[in-house]
Amino acid sequence: MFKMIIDTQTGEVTNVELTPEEIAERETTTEG
Amino acid sequence: MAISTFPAPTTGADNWVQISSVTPTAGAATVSFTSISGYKKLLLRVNAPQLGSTGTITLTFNSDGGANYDYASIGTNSSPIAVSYINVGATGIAMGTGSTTGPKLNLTIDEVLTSNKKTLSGFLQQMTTSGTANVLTDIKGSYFASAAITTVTLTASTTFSANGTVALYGVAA
Repeated sequence: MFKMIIDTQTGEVTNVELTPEEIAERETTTEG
Repeated sequence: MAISTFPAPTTGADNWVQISSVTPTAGAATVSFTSISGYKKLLLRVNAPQLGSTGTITLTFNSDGGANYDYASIGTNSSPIAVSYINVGATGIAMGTGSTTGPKLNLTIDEVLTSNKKTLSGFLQQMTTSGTANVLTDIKGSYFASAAITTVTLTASTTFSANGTVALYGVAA
């Protein structure tokens, strides 16, 4: 699972893996 | 009767430019426009980004998940029955619940660069929800923050599939 990040200054699109902390936060704040 | 005349466009009128437009990558949990700078107004156009499995999509600014979003929407569903939603102190702007069908949103964001609360105005077709299909609403709201908006994020509770588009437009300051 990753974050899609679009840099609006450069137009660069990168996909960054979620950290364990971010995954844990998603599990407590979102429905699924 | 005199011939009607229309006022000429005024100097300094809003000139919207496209900042970015993407189709979410399959498997992405979030789609974020970052490093936004130099725009006094923003327009977010969300055109049916679908999810790989049933879930929700939520809009936030500046990666702020605090209770800083107030918004109300009123409209109709396909029955048709009038519907209205009021959310005070929300942690983001929800675009419907429990579906894979992507929402459609045209949302104008003002006060982007000022220290005032950010004002939100637009149209939302919610994600299709069982029993309340095709919920079409006007949406108005505020994002309570003094900092300029530099990041706009859509968060899926599941993950996106490679469908639809998410585009950001702006008016230069």
